[in-house]
Amino acid sequence: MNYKQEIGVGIFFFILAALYLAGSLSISSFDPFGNSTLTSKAIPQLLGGLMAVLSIAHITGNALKLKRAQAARRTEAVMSPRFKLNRSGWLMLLSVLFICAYIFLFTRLGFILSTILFLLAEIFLLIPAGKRKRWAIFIICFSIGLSILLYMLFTKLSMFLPLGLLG
Amino acid sequence: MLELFGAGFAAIFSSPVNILLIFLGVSAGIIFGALPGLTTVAALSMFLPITYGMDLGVSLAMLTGVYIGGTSGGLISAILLNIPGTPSSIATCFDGRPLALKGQAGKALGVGIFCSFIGTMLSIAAMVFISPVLAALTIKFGPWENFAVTVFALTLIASLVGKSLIMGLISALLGMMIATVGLAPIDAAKRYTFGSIELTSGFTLLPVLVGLYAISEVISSSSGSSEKDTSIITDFTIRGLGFSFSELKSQIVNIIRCSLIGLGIGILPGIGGSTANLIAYSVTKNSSKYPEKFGTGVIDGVVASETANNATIGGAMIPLLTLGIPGDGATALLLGGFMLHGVTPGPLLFQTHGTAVYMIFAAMIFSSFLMMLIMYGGMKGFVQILKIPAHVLLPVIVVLCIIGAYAVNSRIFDAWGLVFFGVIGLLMQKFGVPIPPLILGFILGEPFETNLRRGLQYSNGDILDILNHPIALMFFALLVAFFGLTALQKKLREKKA
Repeated sequence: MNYKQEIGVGIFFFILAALYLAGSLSISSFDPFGNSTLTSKAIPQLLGGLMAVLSIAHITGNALKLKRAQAARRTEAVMSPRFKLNRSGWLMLLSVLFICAYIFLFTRLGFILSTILFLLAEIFLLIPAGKRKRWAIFIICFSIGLSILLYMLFTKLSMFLPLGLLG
Repeated sequence: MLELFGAGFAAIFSSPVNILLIFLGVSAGIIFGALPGLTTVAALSMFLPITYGMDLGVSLAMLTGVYIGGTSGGLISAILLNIPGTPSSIATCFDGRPLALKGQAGKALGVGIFCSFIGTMLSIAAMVFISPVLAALTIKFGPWENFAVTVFALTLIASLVGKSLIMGLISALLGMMIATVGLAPIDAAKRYTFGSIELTSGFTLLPVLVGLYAISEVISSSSGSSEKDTSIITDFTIRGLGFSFSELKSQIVNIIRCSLIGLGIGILPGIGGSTANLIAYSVTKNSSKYPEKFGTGVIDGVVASETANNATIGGAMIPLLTLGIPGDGATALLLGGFMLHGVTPGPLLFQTHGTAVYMIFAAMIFSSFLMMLIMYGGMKGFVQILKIPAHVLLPVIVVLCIIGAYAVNSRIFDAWGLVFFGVIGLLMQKFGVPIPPLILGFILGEPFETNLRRGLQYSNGDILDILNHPIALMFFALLVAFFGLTALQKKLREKKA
């Protein structure tokens, strides 16, 4: 078990709880029924407080385990994997960026154009490099065909999709 | 009840389009279930936007078809590739694959399909009889009873999912915190909106759900780690049902036992088929006369896993329909399907949308038969589909998920929410924080607050008023008993070790 990582996760949740509690102070408290009931501040403060307590418990528990592991010279338990962005990491990062770009262009270029671009980019990203050339024409036709087909299908289902530049 | 059932079946068979949609749902579910790396949740996320323009009954009929197909499809790759298509079929590999390697892949597939059908049907029967009774009971619930149910469900899921109870509870709290964004219940005070108009209406369920489950799954699969080697697919032929009558007879006790395990686990929030198949397998092995043969290719193992995982379907639908509490990720998306049509499941559902509910019941029975027919008849075709590359499927899923998120309110903010929660889901997976408690926390956050505040209003701020509500006390007592038993089990295990 990676105790250092667990402590890091605990610290993250503690900071989140602290920020959440701080944010709860700006919630307007209005009690239409007098002082007998909870205001809209109360539940966020309860949730934030509970999360702070639980994250402290998580940090303390793992810190004690880490100390015991260090005392027993179990170095493997305290070793932290080094963060390294390999090919898989790059693929994930680029996929997230492509999705963000797709959403950004969704209303600007319209559904059909943005979807064609996204499908082209994402499929070319994920396909093994050796197969790119052989499948290029199929991928282009598939991206265009599917985007138009989906637009027609969803507008038929009375769903509004932006037309953008084509509108 | 029979009249309503008749009306449900009549509604399905009134139009060939309905039959076609259910057929499509079941087939797509089987394909997604069979493809390693893609799950039932991804299939449901993809189909949600398609149901947007349909009637509530038809859309839920199609979605439950996807659910049944998806849960059953996992056995195909488990037996033929030794890779479970979904986590619900992990235990199917243990004996299904050895059977396939012995040249009995047809028998393993046949047994798996038939038991999936039986497991689903038995759980549907239980759901049909239990749900209306439970709904009639829960309709009498006041704020304190509803508050107790939400606390019970939240704590139970947090303690049952994942390795650490604290992490489970933190995840549930995070979900409840996300639910506080927007206007507060009762007095509509603005909370955590940071001056944004979009945040005033809070996060809708669909982007949160689809983001956490489907988008994170797609992003993680895009790393190429789920690439499968399809060259090891075993050849097979299914003759008849794939097994003899005497073999079936010898498994009757096993089938009933595993159906009950699946049903029970399905009813508990947050656990689902992924745990049910493993528990059922281990119970069957421990109670077998020949436990040493398990893992070498005995049909008992396949029967246990496939009956139990499908039996969770009916079980998970019970709390969804009667309390509005989803039993697992798939039923959480079905809840999204209800909400897409402006309907909130709960005890009133049987009164306000009775026909739609019985149409769903009828559709589930029809889907189970269809699942069996499609899997027996189209097995060779599904094996070909196993060869569809992930680089074509994953981008299409993203497009459909974004359409679904955008369709809810026609606002791009929800599509951004999808990516935001997708990244959160990915980070949670990486750091071992369980996702199901967050989902349940998000869903139950609002009823938790509303019922607590309402209860306090009715009792003039006296929290001890809860002691006058025996049903609420019963839920708290159950919770205490559950924690007591868990602690006792842990101590006994430590003593044994």
